[in-house]
Amino acid sequence: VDKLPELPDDEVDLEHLESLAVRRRLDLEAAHEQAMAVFHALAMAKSYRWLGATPVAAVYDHAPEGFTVAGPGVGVELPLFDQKQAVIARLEGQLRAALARETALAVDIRSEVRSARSRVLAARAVVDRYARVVVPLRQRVVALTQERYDAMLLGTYQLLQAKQSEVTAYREFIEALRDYWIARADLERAAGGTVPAAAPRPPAPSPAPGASP
Amino acid sequence: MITRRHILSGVSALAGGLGLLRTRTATAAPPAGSPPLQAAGPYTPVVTPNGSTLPWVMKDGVKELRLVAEPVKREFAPGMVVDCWGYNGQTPGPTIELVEGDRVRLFVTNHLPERTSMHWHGVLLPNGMDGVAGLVQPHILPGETYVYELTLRQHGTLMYHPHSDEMVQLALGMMGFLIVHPKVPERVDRDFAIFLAEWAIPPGTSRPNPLVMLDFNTFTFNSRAWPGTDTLVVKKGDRVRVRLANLSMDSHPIHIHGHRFQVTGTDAGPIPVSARFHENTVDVPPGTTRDFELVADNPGDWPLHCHKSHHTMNAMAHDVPNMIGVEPSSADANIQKVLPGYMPMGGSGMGGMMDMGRPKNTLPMMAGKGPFGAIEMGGMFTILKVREGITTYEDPGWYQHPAGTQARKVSA
Repeated sequence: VDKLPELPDDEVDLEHLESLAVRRRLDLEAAHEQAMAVFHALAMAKSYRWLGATPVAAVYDHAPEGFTVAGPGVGVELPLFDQKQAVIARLEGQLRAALARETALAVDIRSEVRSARSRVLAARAVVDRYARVVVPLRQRVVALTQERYDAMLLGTYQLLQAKQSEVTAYREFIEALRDYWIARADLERAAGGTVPAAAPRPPAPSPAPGASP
Repeated sequence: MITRRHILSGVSALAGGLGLLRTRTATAAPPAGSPPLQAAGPYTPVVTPNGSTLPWVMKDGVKELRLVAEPVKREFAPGMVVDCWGYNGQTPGPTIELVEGDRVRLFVTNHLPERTSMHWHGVLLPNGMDGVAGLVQPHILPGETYVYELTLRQHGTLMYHPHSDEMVQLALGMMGFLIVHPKVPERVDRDFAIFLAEWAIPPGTSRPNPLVMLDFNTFTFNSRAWPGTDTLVVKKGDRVRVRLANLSMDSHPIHIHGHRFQVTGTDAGPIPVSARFHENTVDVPPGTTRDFELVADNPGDWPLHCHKSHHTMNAMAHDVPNMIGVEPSSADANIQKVLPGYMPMGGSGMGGMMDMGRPKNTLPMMAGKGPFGAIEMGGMFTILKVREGITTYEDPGWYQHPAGTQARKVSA
């Protein structure tokens, strides 16, 4: 219930994770859409570079002669000198910047995923070391210390110290497991969502008596 | 003549009628209360409990003996085998038994991983035969053989041991008896030789630690610890000699029950009869030997042991908190919550917890089962079994107490 899940059997393939992240990250998608908006603005600017402004007006005037003139009016601008070179250049610059930002973000995302996955793997190695080596060794030390206590080669305090070290090792195992899941949460954030996990392994190691996790 | 003597010594019990050899009778007066000496042969062969005697070969009037220094595995008691160094596959090395006047040639071969030498402790010999490496001879390198040749001009309980890297080689078990009988022996019926030694063998291991000077944890008679020590079986009325040798770093007060003895000799030979007196315990200091003699006139199973009580214990620690008289109240139950196998220990003494479990290759601190329960001993402990009407010196079993001669429970 209030228990950390055990380590999943396998970690997701790095190749798969990077492409998954690039597909799913919303910040990357936003950067892409921004670049696309600039692209469309540029396309439009280019398409209408030979068209000047065409002001449409409604004219209404009282002539001194005493009649009133009213009607539509259209102006035609001939782009002899301003063919929107400045606007297009600015938009082209903005497009290059937007595309570069998108690429940079994608590179950053892949890098984030790789480093987050490395941290997961490192945390997994620590958990594994505790589960396979440290805690079993501490348990063995307790058994051997008990044997020596039984032969009156050690006192109660030394026996309790050995047990305390075993409990400490088990607590450190739980902390390592916690660090693993924190690292995994960081990985999922970097990957833009849930990372599919394999079925958890059977629990290991068994908690020391009196040392409930 | 000398050869014949030796051969006859093996059948001394049957050789009582040999007038040829009976002509030599002991001149020393026995302690008061002892029966007349029987001169059945030249000498009664020494019994080395849990050990053996080195055979010799007569060559051109010289007795030749061969000792090979080598690593040996020694079982101290069932359940504990120790990686020692010794001679001819054993520690202590085989007992050398000779007669005053013998010319002997002693070959010493080194099969150890390091150099050694052989010192003949207490022997009056030419300086060059003294075996002190560096001082009077080169070291015997691994693979080499040296020969020592000398004439024995004395008698008594002597020793042999290395005089090269002594600290290590003695601590690992390199020692042995060199017993020289007088030409005219003071006859005894049983003659035992017991080498005292102490060892520091960390529990769970098999190699004695030569660097330990004071804190030993294993104490042995002939490199055996009770309950691994052979008992000494004697017939009622036997005159018994026990030879004790000590090359350890402690003195060992060896004590006998139910009898009194006289110390009759040291590594310098016999003590004048006028200087002997009765005792129950003889302190054997480091680097010396003591012979004592008694008349086994009191049937029973009588402990013979070192009276330093830690020396009659097997592996134990000396820095365990003292729990005698401690009332643990709720502590025990709390400890058992985290250590289900925990047993409170030592609060009302330490007897009765002899075999709860222990590291491998480690003897229980106290051991031995007697007819009435646990004997709770270890180390330097054995039993002198005095019996009436036995025909062999095989183990006769436990003593059957005649009615009315044994302590019994009464309702007080």
